[in-house]
This record gives sequence, structure tokens and C-alpha cells, in this order.
Amino acid sequence: MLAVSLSANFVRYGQLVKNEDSISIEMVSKKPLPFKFEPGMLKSPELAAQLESLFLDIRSTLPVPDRFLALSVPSDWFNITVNSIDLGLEGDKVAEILDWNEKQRLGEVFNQKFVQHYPLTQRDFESKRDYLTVSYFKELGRAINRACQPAGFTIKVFDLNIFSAAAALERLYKEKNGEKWGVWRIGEDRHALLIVRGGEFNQYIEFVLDENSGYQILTNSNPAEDGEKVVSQINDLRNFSSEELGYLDNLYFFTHNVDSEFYNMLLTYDVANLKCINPFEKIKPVDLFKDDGEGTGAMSQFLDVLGLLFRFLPEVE
Amino acid sequence: MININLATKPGLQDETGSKPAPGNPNEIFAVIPPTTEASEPAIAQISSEIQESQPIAMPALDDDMFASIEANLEMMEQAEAEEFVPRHISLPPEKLEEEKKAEKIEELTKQPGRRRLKKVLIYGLIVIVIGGGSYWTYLKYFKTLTPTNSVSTDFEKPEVATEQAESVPVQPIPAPAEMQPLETVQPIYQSEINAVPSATPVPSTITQPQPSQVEDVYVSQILSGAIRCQTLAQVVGSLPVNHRLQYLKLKTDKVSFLVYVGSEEEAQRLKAGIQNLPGILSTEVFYIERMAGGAAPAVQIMAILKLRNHPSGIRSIRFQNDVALSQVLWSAGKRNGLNMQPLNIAEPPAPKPRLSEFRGNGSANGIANLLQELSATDLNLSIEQVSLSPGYDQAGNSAAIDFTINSIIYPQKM
Repeated sequence: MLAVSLSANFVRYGQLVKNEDSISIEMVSKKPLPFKFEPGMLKSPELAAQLESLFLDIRSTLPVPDRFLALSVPSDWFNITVNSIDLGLEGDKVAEILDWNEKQRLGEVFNQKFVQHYPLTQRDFESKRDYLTVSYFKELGRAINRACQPAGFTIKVFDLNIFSAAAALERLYKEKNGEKWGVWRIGEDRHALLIVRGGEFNQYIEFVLDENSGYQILTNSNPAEDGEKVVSQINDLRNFSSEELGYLDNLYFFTHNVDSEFYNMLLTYDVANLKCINPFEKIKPVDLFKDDGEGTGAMSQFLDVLGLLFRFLPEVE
Repeated sequence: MININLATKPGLQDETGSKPAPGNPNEIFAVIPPTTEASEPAIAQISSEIQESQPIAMPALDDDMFASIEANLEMMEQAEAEEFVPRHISLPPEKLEEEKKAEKIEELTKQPGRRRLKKVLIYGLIVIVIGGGSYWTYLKYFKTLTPTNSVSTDFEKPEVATEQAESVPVQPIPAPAEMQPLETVQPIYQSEINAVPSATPVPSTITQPQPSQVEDVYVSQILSGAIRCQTLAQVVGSLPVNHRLQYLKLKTDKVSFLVYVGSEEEAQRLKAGIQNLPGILSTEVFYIERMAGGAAPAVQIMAILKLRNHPSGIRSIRFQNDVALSQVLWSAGKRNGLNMQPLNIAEPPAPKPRLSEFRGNGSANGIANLLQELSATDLNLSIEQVSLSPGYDQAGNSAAIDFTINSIIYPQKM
């Protein structure tokens, strides 16, 4: 099983290999992309060919030939919203309402989108249930499928990188994460924040920190929740000393750009519940990419790759 | 958490989430060819501590797992069989009572000397317990360290510790990182400034080193605090006149600050000056950035400095009670033109280290001078954390800086 995480400028990947009755993480590596992988590229007719070339290149470096692929891409390729539906409706009716909501929101591009709805926690006291709706342009799916065929890969999982990172943290720390915790992907100019409450998705926010000590919310899956207060505290970190962040038990941060000055500055901060972790502290891949260093700051970039790999690693009680 | 899988069907997903179909592991996972196995038998280098440590047992190994449990059971049975278990043979109750009575009578008649010895030992033990308890009560509630009205406020005539006093076990020093906001505080109010002694150190004319009046284990803590304080004073003192301070914090062995200065040249001069301070071990972060469109001073400096924390040499530390300490601090603040609030101490006097805090407000120069004075005093107080932030003085001057100094007060050597 090959796990591949695409970011704007790099591809990171890791391979699970079966050896008799055990499975090991055979390798974790990273390559620079010969193109910039960002949503604007969807209009490019070269997208599929460039991805194909990338997959063939990765395949040629694998220690053991592989066929199955788990893929994650940056969450800014997706639309993420949360909708509440009254309890007691049939599944078909729920799907119809959710599709209708999404259609109202997306407008005429709805038909160009692949849309999924995931049921979240049932709120019995309000007689409602939340649903997470994720959508992306079908063109992206078609390009990825076309690119995979010449390389002989079959997609088993297609995920968003911040969700993969959250899955890794959940598996690594379980209840130590606390009741409400978050994961923050530091982008070059655009940041993503995912909040988990009670083991369940709670909120997704994209934001930018501007040069005048302010911030701007770009996307908020669930404005009724208090994730924006977390963003405000993140923004304050740039100007004020802070002992601890409020609203969350823990906030983990990682980046796909380990040269980011802001990220490297954050690594030196002494805030009790703001953490960056090395996902391979206790799980050692046989062959691990170390060209960016071996410290936490360098290793955290593989958090989402590990999250993808975890989906195929049986959890031992 | 939810497992998103956008490679499955569109629309409403199942309750269980879109987990990938596990399928046959032999089909999903690449398998290492036999030749690789033979040449590299130990490829997995995974720590045994973590639950996901490889090799990970596959679900197909359930039979083996049960077999191992059975093997464990056999081992347990074998262990039980080999274990020595004392056997008690029960007698009928009447017979047992008769036997016990006979044993008692025999013991009482045959060993009168041992009985007396036992009595003496028991009485002795009672006397020791009562005596120890009384002494502890005396130490805790009745023995005051020094009567308030007889405190020597003359620094050049240090108090002499009672040599006869029995030494008490040293309490662990509270870690600075664990400092909590003071809840039970005892403000100590000051007397008139003119009646307060100077906080200047002991003159160098004293050639014979005096023995410290606090336990040696605390002395190094106090000296470390003094060194941190001295370095911090130099850092604050080197800030340019027209700076605007956003925050500055001393915690454990790090100073972090965010200030704005007028120009990048000034920022570079400050950087060079700070890096050459003897108390700075390393500069972890020193960012200089001109803020676009910001009000002057517009060059932002964000720095994290690591301090040297090892005291060199031994200094004699003198003990002052809470009131005297408070007066020293207050007068030092006043001398440097600072507005001071009373010293807050977390607990009443006790033979253990106690957290304390004092706050105030004034100019950066005044604060630097205060810190310099504190670093030079040889009193039973260590500076642990210092926090500076923008504030207003009594005249509404926004250039004033609020400061909070967290410290530990140490008890007199017994």
C-alpha cells in the first residue's frame, strides 16, 4: 500500500509492505514537484499528464512494486460545510435535502462537483443531526484516475491532508488529545484549522494572517462554533506572549513548507498546549527521509502520510 | 474521528464512515519477495514501546493468538504448582482456645523479665512520640524567625542565625514553571521611604566571607536568579530610547520580547549589543522586520534569548524576614522612580520556600536599574520570572511599562 500526500510544491509518500505475518512502513520519502499543485491548475490540460509522470516517477523509486494507492491532497481543493437536518427523516430524504443545500450554495457548478455527506454526532436534545458535506471538482478525480492507470495504481482512499493528519494524531495520542483539540496546517499564505470535539469532526476553518497584525477568515464550515476565537488567539501569538491557548485542550501544528519562517518561529514558542510533534518518534520506518533534518520540525511534515498509512495498519489493542 | 474517503460513492455515506474495504491483505499490501527476506531478516526497526510497533499481527493469526493464551495458562498452572503455599491445619475451636490459653499462661509465668522490658519500651515510645509532636508544634506555630519590631534594617549588620537550633529537612524548591497565580496573598505594607534601608550590597571591605543564613541548597537558586536578573537588566537597559515595548518575559532560562524600534539600523545595533552580553548563551530567534503601514516606530524585533544560568562563585546570603524584604524592594523601586505595589507572599512565614510577587510601573530605565539592584543584593529571595508589558503610569503617561516580578522567598537556616 502506497500513501501519497500532495502539497503545493512537494509530494510525500510512504509504503506499507507485508512481510510474512507482519506489516512494516518500508519507506517514507519526499520529492519536489516539477509543477505547482494548486486549485488553479484544474484548468490546465497538462494536469493529468503531470500527475501521471509524477506517479511513474514514484513507482520507479519504490523498494517493492505496489498497486494500491491512498492519496491526500490539500484541503483548499475542497468545499467543506456542516449542515443540520432534523432527526427522523429517511436516508433518501436526508440525502436529497443535503444535496439541495449544497446546490444552493454552489450554484451552477454543483453539477461539476463530486459531493459526499458524512453523518456526524446526533444531537438528541435538539432533535437534529449534523452532516459534513465535502465536495470537489470531478475534473480533479478524472485527472487523478487517468494519471494512475499508466502507473498501474488503483486508488483505495482519497482524503484531505488535514483530515489525514488529524487521523494520525487521534491514533497516536487517543484520549490524551483531550475533549476538544485541533490541528493547524501552516501554509505559505493560507492556513487551515480542523477542530475535533469528543472524537468527532467539529469545525474546519481556512484563514490568512495579514501583515497588519490582523486575520481574515476565508472558509468556515460551521460559523456557529467558536473556532474563530482559536484563530484570533493564533493571530495574537504573533504580537503577544501567551502561556496557554484557550478554547482547546491541545492545538497541534504542522506544515508542508518546513522552510517557513513563521513555522520555525512557532517551533521556538513556549505555549503549553501548542504542540508540534514528530510522528515517527516511536514508529520507525525502515527508510526515512532525513534531508530536511531529523527533528520534530522536519518530521511533522509527514503527519498526513502517517495518517493515510494508519488506515491500513491494524490497530493492536 | 470520521474517515473521509472521496474515492467511494457520492451522496450520503454510511454511519460507519467511508472506511476502505480491508480486503485480502495479500492483495492490498506489496509483499517483500523471499530473496529480500533471506538477505534482510530484520528490516523493521520499530520501537517495542508503541502499540503500532511492527511487526503487527495480522487478523489471520487469531488461532496462534489463542494458542499462546493456552500456553500462558499452562505456565500459570505450572507456576502455581511450584509455588510454596503455607498450609494451615485447622483444629476444632474448643481445642484451639485451650491451646492458646495454655500458651499464654506458659509465656506469662516463664518470662516476667521480658514482660517488664516490653512495658519500658512501650512507655519510651509514647514519650518519644509526644515529645516529637510538641517540638514540631513549637517549630510550626510558636517559633517565629525574628520578631518584626526587632528587625535589623541595617544591611551591614546581618543577623546571626541561632547555632543551637536544630537543622530542619530542606523542602524541595518550587519549580518556576509551576508558579501559580497567588491566591492567598499577604500584602506587606511599607513604612516611610526615609526609614527604609538601602538595598545596596554588602561593601567590599568585608574580607571574611560570612556563612550564608539560608541553606546551601537555596544559595545556588538565589545566585542563578541574580544572574538572570542582571542579564535582564542589561537587556532592558540596552533598548533604544524611542522603542515601543509589546512584551518582554523572563522565564526559566529564556528571555523573549517583542519591541518596535525606529529603524533597522537601531534594530541591528540592539541585536549586536544584546548578543555580546556575557549573560546571553545563545540567540534562538532574532527577527527584524519592517511593518508595512504601521505607526512609528515601525521596525519590529521579535527575539528569544537563552541565558547562561550557572552561578559562578559563592556569595553569602543574608536572611531578612518578610517585612524587611518588602521594605527593601519597595525602597529600591522608589529610588528608581517606580510606582510599586506591596509585596504579595503566598503563605505565612514557614520553614520552607514560598512564592511571592511584586508589581509596579515606570520607565524602562527605572526597571532596568531596579533589576540591577536586585541582582546585586544578597538576600533570601530569588528572581524567577519577570514580565513587562505596556502600561500607564499615574500621570497617564503611556510610555510607562508595567512589570511583574515573581520570586521565591527562602527560610532561615535552622
